[in-house]
Amino acid sequence: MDGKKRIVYISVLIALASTLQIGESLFPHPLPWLRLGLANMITLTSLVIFGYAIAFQVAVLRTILSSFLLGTLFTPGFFLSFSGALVSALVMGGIYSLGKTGKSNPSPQSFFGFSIIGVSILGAVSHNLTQLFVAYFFLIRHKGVFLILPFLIVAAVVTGFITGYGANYLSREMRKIMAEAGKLR
Amino acid sequence: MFLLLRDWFPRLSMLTRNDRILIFSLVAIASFSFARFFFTSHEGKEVLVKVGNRPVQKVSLRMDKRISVEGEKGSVVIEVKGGRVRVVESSCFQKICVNTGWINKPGQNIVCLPNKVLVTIEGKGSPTIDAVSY
Repeated sequence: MDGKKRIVYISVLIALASTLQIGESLFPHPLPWLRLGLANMITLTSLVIFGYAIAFQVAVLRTILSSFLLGTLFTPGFFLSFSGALVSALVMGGIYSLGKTGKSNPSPQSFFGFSIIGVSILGAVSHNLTQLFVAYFFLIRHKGVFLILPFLIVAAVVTGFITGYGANYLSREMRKIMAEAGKLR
Repeated sequence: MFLLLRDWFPRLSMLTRNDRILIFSLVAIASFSFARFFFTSHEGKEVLVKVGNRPVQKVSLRMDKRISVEGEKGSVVIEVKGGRVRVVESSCFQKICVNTGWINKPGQNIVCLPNKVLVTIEGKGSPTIDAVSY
């Protein structure tokens, strides 16, 4: 992919992800730590279609952009969300690039036997765990924080399942659109 | 339940074997740690009574008992009953310690400032969080 096209793709993906994240933050959250993580769908889709490097850039840049637009840049919440996105992108990208079984056009079934839903769940769990550890080491430093761990894991399984399920459809549609434009890879 | 899940997610069959193992083990870990945190926290709780900065008495929360402690201004009577503690009588003026009532969770305190008496519950159990804000 040449430089210009790459920039266009990354920008569109970041715009989509930031829109999802900001739109999601407008929903009421009865539990403040529980979010669906819809922006993760875009990270997964870019991982499947464009590969590790672009997915990582999208994950990092969309947290910065959306927190800038929401006015939470450099607040504690931003560092939580940023570290979570960073580590979950690393985990998902690691599973993807290590588990790829040498197919030219990687099917979603090729991540160490995980489908895209499994990758999404692993990403969500690592996101939540990272946030918890960052919160423990930099913000709260009280062992009581870890009481929330079981809830976070269950929440990550549920939200990871939903976003992975969505990412499956999204990546398929995106592939179709790109194939139609004759631009796939 | 499964019928409902299928209605919501018609392509559940795309879950691979490893996905199912992952989901199952994560839920198992979560419920195991949940059980550990919340069901074993009632063991080994102790009541620590301090006057000023020095610990005076340490008694188990399991045995019903009445303790009298000499504070700065006079005696303070502490009662342990049925896994809870309270201050029954105090020689202080405002009786804030008496009005605090019963406490039973690790990390909770009863304080009598004029007498410099602190009654606190210690234990392996999780300390309770008053509030989280962000």
